[in-house]
Amino acid sequence: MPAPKANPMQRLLDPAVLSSLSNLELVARTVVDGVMVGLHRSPRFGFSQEFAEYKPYTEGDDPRYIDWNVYARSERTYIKRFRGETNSPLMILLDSSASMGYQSEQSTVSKMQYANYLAASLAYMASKQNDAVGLMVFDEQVRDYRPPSSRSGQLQVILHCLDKVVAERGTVFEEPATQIGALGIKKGMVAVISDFYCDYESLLQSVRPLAFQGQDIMMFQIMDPAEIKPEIKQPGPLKDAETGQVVEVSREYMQKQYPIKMQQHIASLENAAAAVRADHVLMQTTEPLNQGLNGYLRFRTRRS
Amino acid sequence: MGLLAPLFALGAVLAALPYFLHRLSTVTPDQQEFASAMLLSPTQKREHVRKQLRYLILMILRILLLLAIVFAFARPFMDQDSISVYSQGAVNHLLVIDVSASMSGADKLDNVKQAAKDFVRSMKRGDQAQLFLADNQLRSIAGPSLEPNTLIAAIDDIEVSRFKLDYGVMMSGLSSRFPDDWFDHKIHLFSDLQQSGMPRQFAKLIPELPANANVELAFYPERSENSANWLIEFIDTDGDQVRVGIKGYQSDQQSRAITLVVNDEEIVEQSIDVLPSGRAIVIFDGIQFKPEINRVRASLLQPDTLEVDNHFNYAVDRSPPEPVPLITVNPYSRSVTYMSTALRTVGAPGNSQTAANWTVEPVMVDNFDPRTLERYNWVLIDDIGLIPQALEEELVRFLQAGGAVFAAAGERTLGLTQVPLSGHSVPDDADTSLAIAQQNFLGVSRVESSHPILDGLKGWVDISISQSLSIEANESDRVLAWLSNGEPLLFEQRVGRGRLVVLTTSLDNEWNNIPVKPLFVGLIGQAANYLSQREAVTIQKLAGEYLYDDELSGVGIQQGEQSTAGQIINPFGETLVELGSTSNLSQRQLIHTGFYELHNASGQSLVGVNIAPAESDTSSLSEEYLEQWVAAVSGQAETIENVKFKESESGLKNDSKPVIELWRILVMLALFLLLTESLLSTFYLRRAQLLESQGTNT
Repeated sequence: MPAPKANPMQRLLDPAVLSSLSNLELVARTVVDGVMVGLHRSPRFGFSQEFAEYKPYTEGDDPRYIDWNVYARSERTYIKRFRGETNSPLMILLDSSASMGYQSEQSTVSKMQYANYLAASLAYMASKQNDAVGLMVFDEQVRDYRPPSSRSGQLQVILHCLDKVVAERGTVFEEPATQIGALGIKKGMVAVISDFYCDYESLLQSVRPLAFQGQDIMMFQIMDPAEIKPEIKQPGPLKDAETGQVVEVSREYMQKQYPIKMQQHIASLENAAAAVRADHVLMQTTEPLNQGLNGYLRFRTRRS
Repeated sequence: MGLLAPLFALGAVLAALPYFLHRLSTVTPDQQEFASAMLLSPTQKREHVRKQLRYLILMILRILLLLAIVFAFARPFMDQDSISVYSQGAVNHLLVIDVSASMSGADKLDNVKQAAKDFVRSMKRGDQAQLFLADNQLRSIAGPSLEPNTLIAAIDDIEVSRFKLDYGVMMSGLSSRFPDDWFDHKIHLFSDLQQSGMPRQFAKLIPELPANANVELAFYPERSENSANWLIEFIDTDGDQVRVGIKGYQSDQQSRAITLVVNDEEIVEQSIDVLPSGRAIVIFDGIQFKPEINRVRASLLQPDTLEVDNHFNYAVDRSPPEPVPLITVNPYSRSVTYMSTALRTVGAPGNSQTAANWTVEPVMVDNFDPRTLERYNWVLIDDIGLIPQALEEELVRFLQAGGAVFAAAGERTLGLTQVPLSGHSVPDDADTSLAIAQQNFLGVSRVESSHPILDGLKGWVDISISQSLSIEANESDRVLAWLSNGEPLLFEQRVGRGRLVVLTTSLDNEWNNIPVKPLFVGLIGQAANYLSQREAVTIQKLAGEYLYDDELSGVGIQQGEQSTAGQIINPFGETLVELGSTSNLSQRQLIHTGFYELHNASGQSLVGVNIAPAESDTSSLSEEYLEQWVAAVSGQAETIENVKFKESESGLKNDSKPVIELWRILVMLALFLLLTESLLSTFYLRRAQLLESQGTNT
């Protein structure tokens, strides 16, 4: 089976291209448009304000949606149909710990930049769907918080916040999870963007209450290719970006044992996500962003 | 050739080159930033540490290689003697060489120097030695040293002194010369072992020893076969007569010829028989002295064991009499007669060489011109009550300027309410103003015999006083003699820089019998010397003694001049102390025999310096005494025979020790280092290449 022909617009989803765009809104728009071009309209109709078509009334249809103006002109009963719409607020939890600042030679953007692009794109897309969107930036503490809103200026607010994010300090998931629970945010989607260098148990304990609240959780794991398959030319000590711990690792370990450990780590994370019915998306900083947006759309579709 | 050569010093600096090259080339493995160390596990092999170690080993090898080459070119060698600085059984030797005046005779010093050098050459490897000179003090001149040549050079420079030997001073001086880090010490005394050098107490012959020290004492006696010695013991003068005393030690009866030189002119020569170890006096008559301080030098013409004591230097003061005014109301009174006679007697030649002649000039108080006070050092007043107020003021100025007044009480004092000059109050009542003995005469209860005026005077019990001025001494007065009723008889008062001495009774024999007693002459004479400050100059001294400030300041003192500025010229005409710099005079030692001239602005004096008579005594310490000394110091007897045996045993052992050439060892070391460095660097290089290829393949 021949490979599907790539949409020319999707070329723009490459992070290397996006990194040349300085305006985050422009990045987001480029990404979203590139994704949307390749999608078909949803065959399902809903109750949004966007008019779809008229349909002759048949038995079983809700008589409240009969367009009486058309009936007055043509004495035929038509039902007015709109494009499907769900009121799903999106809360983006963005990890801004020091490990997110990592960038290898293989990648053109750091994990933090990539995460920013993803967050901006998600926010843009949600905003375009008239969904309320919010942002919480955290490391060891919550550094910035914008509650979900569907107001027209909300996207600019979020993009402005993302512009200021700096990768530093460590990662603690309990803080943002606890705060979201405490704030009583309306049921919706929660997108967690992080590299997830943490203990699975503590991650589960942090995320599980959100799942119990009815939140749909998306875990976007951002990784640099060098983290998954490291290439060390010269053996030497490696310094943990968050803790400053220096570990001298042999070349053999990095080439053989570390990739296995990393796969195990990812698998464990997927299991942890499955345990709370969350969706886990692994994204490498060299890959296009559409994978992340597709995940968002999939969730949104699931909720509608 | 040694490492001190600049070229090799530069070569040694080059050894730092590998260090800098390694510093430049060594790439410290950079710490690579990694997102998280959560999935990392440290390797067992600390590869970069190993790499650093390899670099370090190579660097050290290269530095050592360069150093070995540089040192090898310097051709170092090692003397076997210096291998062990302090070995077990090493001894700290204290070599004491007697350089007292007695060592100047009959090659004694040359012999002990040779013995000392022989000993130094025979010292065992690891022994150290200190070199001291002993006479009336102990002086360190060399060491501690392990090097015999240093000590021998110091021994060669030793010269004999003119001082007296004192074994007590020598041994106490050694007390602080035992190093604490040495266990075995040995004192070697190279001396003629004169008996006269012994201290009065045997205990002074034992030095203070450090704890747990083992100290021995050994003697190297230097005795001449012919120890007969004669010396000129003294010179005395009486008018135009000079008497010279001769004494013999260890001598037979012999005739000795003596020559007398006065003021550098040989006057006469005489011979006299001297009994075995006896004394003789040669009298020279008709010697004409100049009216000044004369140099008299007597010499024995025949040589003997000790030449330095064959001469005697003697200064005779025949300066013209010094005038002293006697202020009186009656120049023909008995007090004037007594005083004039006493002062003429005091100044008589042959009686005391330290005193001057005095000529009393009686002058009526009304005729006395105060302006003449400038001519006098001191003034006599036979009745202090006769001083009118105007003259009193002048006398006070005279005293404050440094002059002196000797005054007695008299009839004129009784009518006054206050004693002139001294300021003491006199009771108005004539009955109470005089202390009058009713039944018995007053006596002298106490005298301060340490005062120069009363020093050595005897016969106070014969003094009877019928009347005296009844006054109370002030706190500032120094009472020199007390009456039996507790009142002062003689007191001294300081007025400014001057001295006032007051006798509370009269100078005639109406109130007392002092003028007719023998002590009167001594009293007046010593008062004259004290008040004129002529007593300070001692014109005979022994070699090794010192000239003090007061002795120089006493030279020709005049009114108002208390300065010690002056000049000392030694017997060789060399100026020791310049004018105005005599603040350093306090300890000026007389190191030569002969005449020292003392000059200051107001006059000059002469000091005859001779060696101590004890140095002429050639008798030696007995063997028993030496054994006791050795036993006391070390706790074990050591006889002179043993010492002699050791001397012969030591001998001259000038072994030529082999020298170890180190450059061959260094060349071998350099080759070894070069080989090791090559092998290691090749091995490391291959390993690095292997690792690099492995990394590329993966």
